[in-house]
Amino acid sequence: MLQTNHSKFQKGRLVFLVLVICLFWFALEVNLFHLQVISHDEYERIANNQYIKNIEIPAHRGAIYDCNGNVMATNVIHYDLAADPKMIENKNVLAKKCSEAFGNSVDYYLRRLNRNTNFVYLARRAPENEIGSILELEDDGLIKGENFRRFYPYNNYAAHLLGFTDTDDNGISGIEKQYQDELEGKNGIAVLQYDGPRRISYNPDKPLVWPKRGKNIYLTIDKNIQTIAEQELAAGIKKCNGKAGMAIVMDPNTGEVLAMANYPQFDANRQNDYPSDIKRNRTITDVFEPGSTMKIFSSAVLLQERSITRNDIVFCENGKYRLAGHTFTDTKQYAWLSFMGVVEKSSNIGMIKLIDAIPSVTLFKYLLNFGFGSETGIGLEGEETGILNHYKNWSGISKHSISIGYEISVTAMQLTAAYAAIINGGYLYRPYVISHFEDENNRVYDVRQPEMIRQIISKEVSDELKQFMLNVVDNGTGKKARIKNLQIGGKTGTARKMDKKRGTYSMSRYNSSFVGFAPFKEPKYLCTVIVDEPGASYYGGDVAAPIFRNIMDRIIHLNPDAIRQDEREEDYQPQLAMIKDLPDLSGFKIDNAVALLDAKNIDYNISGEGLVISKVSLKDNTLHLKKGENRVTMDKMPQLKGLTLREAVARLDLSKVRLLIEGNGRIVNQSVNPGTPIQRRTQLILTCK
Amino acid sequence: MPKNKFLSLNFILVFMVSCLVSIGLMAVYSATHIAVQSSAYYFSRQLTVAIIGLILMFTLAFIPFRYIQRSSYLFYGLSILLLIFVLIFGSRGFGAERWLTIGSLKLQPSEFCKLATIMAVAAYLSKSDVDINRFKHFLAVIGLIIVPFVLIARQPDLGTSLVFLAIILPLLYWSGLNLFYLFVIITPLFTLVLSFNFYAFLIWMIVVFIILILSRQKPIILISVFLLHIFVGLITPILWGQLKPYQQQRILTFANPEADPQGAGYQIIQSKVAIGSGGIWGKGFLEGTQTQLRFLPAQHTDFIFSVIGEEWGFSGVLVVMLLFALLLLYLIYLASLVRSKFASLVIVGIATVLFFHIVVNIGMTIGLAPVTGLPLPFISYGGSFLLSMFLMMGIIMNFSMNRYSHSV
Repeated sequence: MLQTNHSKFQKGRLVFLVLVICLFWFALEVNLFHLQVISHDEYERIANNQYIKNIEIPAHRGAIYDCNGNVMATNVIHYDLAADPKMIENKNVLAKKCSEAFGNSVDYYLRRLNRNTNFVYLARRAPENEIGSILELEDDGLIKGENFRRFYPYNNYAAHLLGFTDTDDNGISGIEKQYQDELEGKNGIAVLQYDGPRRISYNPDKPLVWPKRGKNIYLTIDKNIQTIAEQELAAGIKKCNGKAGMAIVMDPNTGEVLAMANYPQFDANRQNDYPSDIKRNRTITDVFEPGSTMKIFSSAVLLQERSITRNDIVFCENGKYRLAGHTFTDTKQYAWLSFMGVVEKSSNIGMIKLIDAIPSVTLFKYLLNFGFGSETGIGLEGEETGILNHYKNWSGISKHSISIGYEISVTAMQLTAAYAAIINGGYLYRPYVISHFEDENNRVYDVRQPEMIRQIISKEVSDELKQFMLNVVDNGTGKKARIKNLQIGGKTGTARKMDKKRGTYSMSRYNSSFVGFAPFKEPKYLCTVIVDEPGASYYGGDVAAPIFRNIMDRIIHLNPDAIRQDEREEDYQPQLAMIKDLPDLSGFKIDNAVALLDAKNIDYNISGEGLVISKVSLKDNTLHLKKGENRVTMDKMPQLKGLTLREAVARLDLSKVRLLIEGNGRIVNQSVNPGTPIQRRTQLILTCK
Repeated sequence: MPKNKFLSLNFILVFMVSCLVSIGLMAVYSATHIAVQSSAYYFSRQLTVAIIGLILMFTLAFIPFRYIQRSSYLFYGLSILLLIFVLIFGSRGFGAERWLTIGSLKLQPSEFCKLATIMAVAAYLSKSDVDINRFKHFLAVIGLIIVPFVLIARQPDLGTSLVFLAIILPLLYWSGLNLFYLFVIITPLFTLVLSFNFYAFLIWMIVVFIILILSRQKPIILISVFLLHIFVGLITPILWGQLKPYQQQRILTFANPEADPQGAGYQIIQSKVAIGSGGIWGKGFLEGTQTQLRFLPAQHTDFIFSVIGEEWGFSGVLVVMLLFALLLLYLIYLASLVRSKFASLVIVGIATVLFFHIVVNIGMTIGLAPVTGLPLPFISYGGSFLLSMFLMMGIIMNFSMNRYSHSV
């Protein structure tokens, strides 16, 4: 090859090589530009995701304690057990252990462990005692995730009040739900960085944010009392074959709720296994017509309004009394009962007749003051107000119905709070279950104090009503609530349930209740027991009173200071035997009454001016007859059946009736039914025989 | 004279090499910054090699020109011997036997063999009685290259062995091979690739056929060339089955690295993320998160460019790329400048090695080339490779000083 040729030849080939180099160079540069400038954001994002990982450090949910610091709701560590099938060294051992711990077959776990994936769950939310020996396995493919899980050490007890949480530990019922914001802590964040070999290290630029635990809640509930209430309520309801029930124990002097039990129970740790309708806190959500337990409030009105004293007697119509077209009955037939006897024996008729002296507006106002028809202010979500109609909407017999606990609906909590006022000297306290909170630094805050809302009745009236309630237990319907060597007071209640389909009261479904307190002198515990639709016997005195007794008998002995060995007062026995077969004297002409009493050899004295007897009371074994001017204030037709003509005429306001008499002797029929309102002059035919 | 001699050193070359080696040292330092061994371990080793290399380079520059050409065959024979030793006594690493351990030194003879082969081929082609366009001489050249190729491929070191194939073409081209022969050599490569798809193969065969007809060569040559293509097309799928799975995997992953992000494509994806997240100005020296957190595979050797890309960004990469481009163009310029055919061919051969390494390595880091394990010249960590680079540069400096001599 010649030198000149060489040069020429090489020049051409040189250009070609330069072109090749430049071509490849630009190809690389264009790609680098695309990667580093155009797609930079995208790759930066990938890079950040790759090496930065935010890990939430779960915060402790606040605990719930009882008044003595016993834990009622806390957290335990549960494990999510998972595996990377490609990393597991010994699948057989793991599958066998899982099978032992969680119950599924060994094959089931082997199948999972042989899946072609990097992640399978073996068990979720397994408590430490179940997962046990698997935790000790050291296998690189095993992933043990720790989680907090809500735990209720007492399972069933107070479950309705405490509520429960969902799988993410958010409260979805009860206090857990209501105080979710307080209980929930603030999760911490650890910013970790991964490196290529997937090692984890802390990122020093982003310090760890420690989790803040939630606030603790201290309840007024006493775990011991709650336990007793739960146990005895459940046992009692099972015994009487009841449908449901509730029990409240309250300190009547402060309104602190010491126990709040519901039946049927459920286990808050396994709340999913129970139907939702048994998880509500019936003590605040369920309203019912209280029945005879209401008579204490009627009595309170009667006493406070000085309409009557406890010894005033009332004729109880031998168990059947028609008023405005409605027949009221008593479970037993009573003729004459003192006011106290009416409460003691729980005579509907007696109470209805006595309440007649009280204007509707007065009764209504008292009941409002006792807290009926409005929330108690206990501060729990879902509380019902019950139903107390405005007195202007009352019918002719509403006042009477309400006085014996119908046409009014209450919650067990309302009833308990109102009874507290009856026995504590007349003060209505706001019931409360939250004692105080404790923040993450263990500082106590928001301490709840007893809150007196108003005084409704005087101390004297309160004492008198306590006496009434003592007699109920000692001599009356509440005998089964008696506790040996302890004076207690109480009141029974038995109410027919409204049959909503037919709009009438059921003849077979009842609501039995008992409200009682102890010790008598300085009441420490007030306990309400309600049994919904008891099966066998249905009287409050037979069903609820024994449950009350079992509860009170046990809780009173928890606190020996509470029992003052007070002397049992001499039993008060009103001497009513001699007047048992007297007819209702009110409306009699004086001389007729005097003749009758003389014939029966009964002591009496007469006061006042007038021709007829307007009021009869019994005191110191002597009948006090009060004369009134007008014979009868006859708004309504009186009961005349069984009376002689003379007696009947004495009871009638002849300016309002045109009287026609058929036959002779005692009256067997009257053309206008008793209780019928009489507005203008009406014709009345009396048939005698 | 000695003073003049010193001044006639090619300082352009020294400057570019020094820049590249310095950049490489910084990158190695960063890439091994928090490695398990003390952070200075890799850096100081590389620095030592660089200093030795630099001395060697200057020494080579002053060796009489003719000695170099004469020692070509000796050097070649020695390299082949070492390669055979590697096959017998080689120490293992990354699933291959590449190193020869002498005392505490670990040598990679394949790196030196590149230079030796280039020199041997150049020496052979520069003989006055050798005409590359004669088939006998052509076969001799191919034979010189095939021997180290096979030895290295059997280590196995696919990437390095491919370098030997790569230097064939430019050397033949530069030594004046007939364009038709070039065509005959190059086209089977296309046939190789296209043989995996029957229709593409068919069309390609038609194209080859037409070009062959137009070339006006003897029918016997045309037929044998055509038959060669058919043969290549048929045997390629069979040879494919003979490849080791990891080699197949590398080639397949090259087509779509993202398809297997946990496995074969992981390295390429991590490399792209590192380079891409570097942006225009980079994250700064020792600040590359992907580098410092060891997301990058083999980041001080094969993927050193990703470290530069992440920490110095597009601007830093541009500097390196410009240095490489200038170096290559300058070498080509030198190749056309030197009088000696031997020197010219050696320079082209060295430039080819550099070019192949640069394109394949950088292409690999950005997902354009398969992961072959070819290091980046002057920059990647690796004593034998860096030393061989200095040897090459030393020889070129020698040629540059003696550019006007026709040699022997």
